[in-house]
Amino acid sequence: MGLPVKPPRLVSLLFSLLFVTACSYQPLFLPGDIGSGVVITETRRVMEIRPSSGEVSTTGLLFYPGGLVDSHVYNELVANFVETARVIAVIVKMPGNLAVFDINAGLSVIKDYPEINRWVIAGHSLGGSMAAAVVKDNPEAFEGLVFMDSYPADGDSLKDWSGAVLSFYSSVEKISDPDRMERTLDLIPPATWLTDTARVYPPEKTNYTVIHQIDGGSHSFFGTYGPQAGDYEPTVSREAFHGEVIDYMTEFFSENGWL
Amino acid sequence: MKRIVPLLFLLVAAASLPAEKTAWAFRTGINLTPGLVYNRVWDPGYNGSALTVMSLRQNGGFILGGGIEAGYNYTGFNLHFPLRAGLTVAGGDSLTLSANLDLMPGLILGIPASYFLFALEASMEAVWQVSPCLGISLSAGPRYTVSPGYGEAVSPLEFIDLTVGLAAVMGN
Repeated sequence: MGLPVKPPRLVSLLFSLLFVTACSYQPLFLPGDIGSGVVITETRRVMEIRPSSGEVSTTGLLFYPGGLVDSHVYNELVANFVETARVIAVIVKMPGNLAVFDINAGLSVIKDYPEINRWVIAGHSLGGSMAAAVVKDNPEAFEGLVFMDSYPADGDSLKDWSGAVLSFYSSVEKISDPDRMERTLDLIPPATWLTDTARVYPPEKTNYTVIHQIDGGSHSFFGTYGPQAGDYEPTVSREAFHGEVIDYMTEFFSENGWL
Repeated sequence: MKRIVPLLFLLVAAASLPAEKTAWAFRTGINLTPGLVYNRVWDPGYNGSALTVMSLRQNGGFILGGGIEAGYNYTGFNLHFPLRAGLTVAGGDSLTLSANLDLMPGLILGIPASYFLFALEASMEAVWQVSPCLGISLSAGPRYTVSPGYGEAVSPLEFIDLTVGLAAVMGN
């Protein structure tokens, strides 16, 4: 009995499988495209982005990239946020670009910044779920959490966590599964929705979630890459999308007194 | 992609060149890369791991080999196609020691572009023969890795790692 496929075809299939399952999305911009308002320092483990001059907040942003996405794709969004909010942000590089391989990578990073007295952790997609796992196991280490098209894994409920959560959805399609949404709401602190006409935060800045759904975006718009397989067709520009994310994130930091 | 598959076959075929008084071996194992230097900034740390498969041909004290290595580091997943030249420096019935030089063209697997990757590794390898057809190999040596394309498009990429390998060597 022979092989079901001929060896050259088998080799092609194996290579195709490897390419499909192991390729990371690369950034769509060049390193020189990042503005001069920030300084990016890169090491083996992280990319640190800080304002190039002036006062800096003592709140730090720790960022977990999405799965199979090169961590550099977030430089543009995070750099613009850093310039606007004047915080130090640290994007954690993950082994194989999969946060699941080193969930607690961010905790060792925090120790390198004694001048920062408050940390907010953010994550895109798989990175957000892993960030939630870190918060669940280390609730005192963070005061805030930002989800970008992401939610906690079923075993990582943050319902009683005292921190504040901001959850972004990139398009209306991302919240179109009522079962998934119901499960997500059961895993996060009590939630209210923020819209362009109703940006009202709870009076008590503890144990709460604010959710914002962006109209017409796509999953890959949280970084500067894509389009990602299975993504929705965006109807807004990436620049407008980034602007909205930064606007809401800055407001979230400000509302909580972190700036 | 179309250029890489023939290259892979070429490298494996190079290791299978006919020669008199030769022995062949099939080596498979893992490589761990605790890094020493990254991007010309002193930054020691663990840099990744890889699975490796090689076909080796030994003629007297000379070793020639080729194969594939699939691994990951902080750039994501990548492939190398090592081409090995080695020399047995000490040999006994149960233990042999060899010095190897691996030229390793490769790819950082990416979308929309995969970037050419090149590594050069010098290693010492000890093979303990546990049975006539099976040896256990332990190797270590420095590896230099560079990707000019990734460096230009994404971020400078230049590693010097200490590669530690553990492998099974099957053959006669």
